[in-house]
Amino acid sequence: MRSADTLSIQKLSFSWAKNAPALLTIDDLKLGSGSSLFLRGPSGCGKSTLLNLAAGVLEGYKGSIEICGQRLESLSARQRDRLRADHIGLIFQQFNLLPWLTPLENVALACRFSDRRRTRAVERSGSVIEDARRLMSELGLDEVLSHNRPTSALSIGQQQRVAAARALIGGPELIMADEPTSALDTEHRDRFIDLLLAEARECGTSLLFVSHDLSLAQHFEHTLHLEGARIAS
Amino acid sequence: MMIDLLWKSLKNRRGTALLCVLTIAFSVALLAGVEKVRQDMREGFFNTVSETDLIVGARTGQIELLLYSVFHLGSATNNIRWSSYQRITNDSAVQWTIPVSLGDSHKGFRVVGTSASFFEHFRFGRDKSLSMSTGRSFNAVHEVTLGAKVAKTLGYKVGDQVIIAHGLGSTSFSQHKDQPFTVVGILAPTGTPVDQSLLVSLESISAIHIGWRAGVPMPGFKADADKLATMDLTPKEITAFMVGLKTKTQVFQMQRAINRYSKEPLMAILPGVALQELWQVLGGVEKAMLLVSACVVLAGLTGMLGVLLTGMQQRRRELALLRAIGASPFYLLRLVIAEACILTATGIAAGLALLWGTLAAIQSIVQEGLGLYLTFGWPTGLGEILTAVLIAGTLAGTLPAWKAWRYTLADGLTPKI
Repeated sequence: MRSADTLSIQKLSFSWAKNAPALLTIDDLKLGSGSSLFLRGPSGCGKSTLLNLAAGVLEGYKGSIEICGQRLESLSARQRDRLRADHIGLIFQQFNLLPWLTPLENVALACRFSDRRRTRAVERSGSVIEDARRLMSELGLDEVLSHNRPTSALSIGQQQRVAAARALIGGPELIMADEPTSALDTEHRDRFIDLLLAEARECGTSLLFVSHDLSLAQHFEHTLHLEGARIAS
Repeated sequence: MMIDLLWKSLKNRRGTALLCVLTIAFSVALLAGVEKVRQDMREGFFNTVSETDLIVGARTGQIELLLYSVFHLGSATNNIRWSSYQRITNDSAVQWTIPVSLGDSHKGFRVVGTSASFFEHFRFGRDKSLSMSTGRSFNAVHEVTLGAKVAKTLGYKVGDQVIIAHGLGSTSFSQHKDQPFTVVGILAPTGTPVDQSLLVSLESISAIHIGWRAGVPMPGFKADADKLATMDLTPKEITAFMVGLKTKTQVFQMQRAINRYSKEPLMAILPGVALQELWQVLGGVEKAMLLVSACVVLAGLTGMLGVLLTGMQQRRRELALLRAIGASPFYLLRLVIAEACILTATGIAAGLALLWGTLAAIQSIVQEGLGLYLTFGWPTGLGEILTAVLIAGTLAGTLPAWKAWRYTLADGLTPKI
């Protein structure tokens, strides 16, 4: 049976060693289809661990993590890689791009590992590159496209927007962003979040936004606090 | 679909990639070069005499006979009688013979007494006959035809006078000063010991030894042209001779007949068999050469491994990123191994280009300087060797690939740098 939630975490508990105290426990976290969640927590509270768990690259937890109706603990490593490629877009704090690919190639790269997202991108714009161009244009990167700027010449703000376009291409159900605005100034930060939310809304993509900066919470539908080892609403 | 990613990534690291390719290129060029020289040397060696069915000399070891008659190394313990030579030459199974009379020298080069038959029947390489570079072959007493190397080293040209020394040392004190020779021709290079020989007629050898007893000239005797013209210069003995038979099938029969010759102890050898036996003595050297160049390839691959492993640490972030986008650890493993494979293959191709380019550049220099004729042909077995190098290079890639695998599993989405 398929749940309506894009991401659903139940009774999750994770520790690095068997008998060590739990680094992260989440009793109940649900992210509905198309909604946005701001997850706030100080550094060291297990935000990155949570992202690694939800993205399916970290194992050995108790409880259940469900993405688009599929329980990660029932999947093989290979199936989790496929699930991540098909359904999840990731944006990191920095170093989101491969410097030896052009910005456009970096965006299109996401479709290389997922037939589903490639098909969707082609359906939408005719080809993967065209869809990448469309997304970059919508994220305000026309200047990068028209000047054929190499990835290494982009500002951090531009890099993050290219990363957002890559996370969005092919319309994955879930985008997880880990402090994507921490390297941006206030003006760029707000603009980035607005653009990201607008695009996510248009694609019907759910957004899980992780940051320590509470002032950003106003942009999102829901807010959760990840305090040390526990989660509180 | 992986190949364009690989190509762009390598282009981004073109400095180190080029270094890898060059390391492999040089070691492969060396390995293939050694193999090439080895095979061409072997070819040249076995083609020192061709078309000769038997070599006949006084009874001794077959390698000794081969060494002094063909390679002009060492000296014969005994000569053979002219009558025996005549007898075998006139045998119905024999098509031609080339007599060889050794024992004199000129400035370290051997003087070979022979007949016109030498120019007519001697074959080297793949059935190549001797040809003149300038002048003509000797046809009278006191005329000498020079091998290419002799003329080049000593700077002789047609018309020059040459004094022949008795014995083989380059500083022999007893010289045939009273009978100078005139250079009448110079042979084209052959890459065989002929290049280092001075060819004269058997009669000339007889002439210069008239009046000599036990290796020293008899005092008071002076040979002049008039006196020589009246004398019978037919040699009494020669050192060895080569035999060409009318039909090859008679070789063993003829060999047996010569070995059983009752008038004098003679020995006939098959040049191919003797060359093979001699080559086995030298074979250790070629194996050592091959071993050394194999070690150089190993060093080249180790160099590449070092560069790849160092690069892996720097590419940790790149790997984590690809993993976040959806690449499986297995995909990254394949990416790194494919990279090693491509670098090795490119290195091999560059190495071969380097070798053949060098061959084209030095071929004539090597032939003139060393008498070694390097061919452009593909050495036998090189394909297998290069395949082994490619496999070894690809296998070397598994080590950094394994490292990448470990990184991707340990790092997850966030590289620990």
